[in-house]
Amino acid sequence: MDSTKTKKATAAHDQEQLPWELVEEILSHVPPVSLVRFRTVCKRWNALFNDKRFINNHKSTFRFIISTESKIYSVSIDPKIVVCELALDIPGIESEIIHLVDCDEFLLCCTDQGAAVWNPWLKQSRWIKADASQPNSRVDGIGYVNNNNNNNMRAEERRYKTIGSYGPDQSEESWLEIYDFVSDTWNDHEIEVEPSQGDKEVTSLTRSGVSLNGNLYWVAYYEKTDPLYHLLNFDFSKKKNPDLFCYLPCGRNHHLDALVLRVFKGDRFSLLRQCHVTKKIEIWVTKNKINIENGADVVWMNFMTLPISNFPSLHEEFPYSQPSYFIDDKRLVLCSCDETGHPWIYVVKENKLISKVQLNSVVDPWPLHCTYCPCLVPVPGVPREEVLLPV
Amino acid sequence: MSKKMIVLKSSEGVSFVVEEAVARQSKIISFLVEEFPDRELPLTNMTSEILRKTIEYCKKHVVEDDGGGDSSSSSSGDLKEWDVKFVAEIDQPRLMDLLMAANYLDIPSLLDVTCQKVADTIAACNDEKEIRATFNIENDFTEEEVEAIRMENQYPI
Repeated sequence: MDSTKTKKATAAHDQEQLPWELVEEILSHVPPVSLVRFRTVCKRWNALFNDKRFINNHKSTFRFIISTESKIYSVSIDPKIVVCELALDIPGIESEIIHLVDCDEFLLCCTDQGAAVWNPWLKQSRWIKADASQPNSRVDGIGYVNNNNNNNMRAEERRYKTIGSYGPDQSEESWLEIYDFVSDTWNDHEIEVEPSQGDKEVTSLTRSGVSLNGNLYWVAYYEKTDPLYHLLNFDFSKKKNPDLFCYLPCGRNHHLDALVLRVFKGDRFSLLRQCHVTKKIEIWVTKNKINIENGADVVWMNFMTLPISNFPSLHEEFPYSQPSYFIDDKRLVLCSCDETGHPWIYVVKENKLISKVQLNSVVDPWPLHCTYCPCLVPVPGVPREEVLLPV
Repeated sequence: MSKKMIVLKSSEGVSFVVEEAVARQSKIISFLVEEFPDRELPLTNMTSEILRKTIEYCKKHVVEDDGGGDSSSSSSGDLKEWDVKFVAEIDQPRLMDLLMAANYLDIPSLLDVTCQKVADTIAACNDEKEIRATFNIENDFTEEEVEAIRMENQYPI
């Protein structure tokens, strides 16, 4: 306790004396939709609203999104696990969400007719209709043009784009197309995905890309039995065929091994693998921040090994999906469904399972789930409802 | 059964005799009572008015240790209602004092309730000017900067 916090006799001027930690505490109780309106109060407030630590301490923050056939929930972890139902306020969504992707600032809720780009914290969304002229088209990820290899590009400087892919069903042939948020169109000069590099055929393990600094990355392999898988990289500024970026520290021993790539500390990657047979979990992180121009110098190091044979299987065979997880400090927090399709949250610290909690309020089995770290970045192209008054 | 009482003294030197269980909701007082038993505790940075309010809150929230089990949880809805009324009746400057007192004495639930009330006031403000006036904050932005932030948050593309 700080003894310097003395109170003045005249209460009317006390606000000036309010310690900053208390201002933060008060603002962490203000609804996010209001916060964004008050960025212009002063520089300190504006800076605070971009601070991840503040957002993580906010009373209405959360870390996972879970979607069932009829409902969407947020799951907060600290100080205790709390599940809240979110209003499904996404205009345009008419059919069931079949895919949920954490794209950094936004969530991508994909249906068979397109996708909604959603900031659930600001309750803003924008509907992107799938390119009607293409068969089986789908939306795979959000990125932006990052010409300067900038690790810290401000959200408002980004020109967001969405990548989609299409191709005849059951065929290895496919094409990529890019949707631009500004022009609200899918571009017509599509990029053919060459399923081979040199004489090797490339298969992508995951459908949706992981966004980092504007680029998208997919886990891919040449042969299923390859000891080391690799990352494919798509750069929105170059608009060419996804390219080999770097090798991963492992492959899959079993086709039901879980293998999940995530962003770590905002500028690095982490990779989780669970062996289907032994249930052993290994996590690697990249030693340095990712240089989007050059994947050759990426160094992976072991972050955590969990030799827990009674840890449940994280790879959900039905429907095909992978566990969601995030790492903060030395802690790993996982969301995964059990054999009956019920979601659980596992918290692991220092190689030990600290807690496991079944999310009983999520009733429907086999929900979709993904991580999401709230932010106050507005969805591009969505006009604000409350227009600020002029100065 | 006589309950153990302790004495809290405000900045004006007014003594308040309080049941120990009531005062112990403050983590600081709880600590001090153990370190210095049988001493009156001077709270030199709290006025009598604010101390009285704080004690009123603590009395309402004390969990009676009379073997009644979870008697407090059954009325948690009522308690919440009481909290809302409690902070609604306090004017802005005193609310800030109470918030600082909750922070100083380390009473998490009172800090939460007072912060929420101030936060509601902020959320109800029409614009940033109203907030600056209410909370005595100086505008350190230029007009161009304000305009830029507005543009970014209305149409960020």
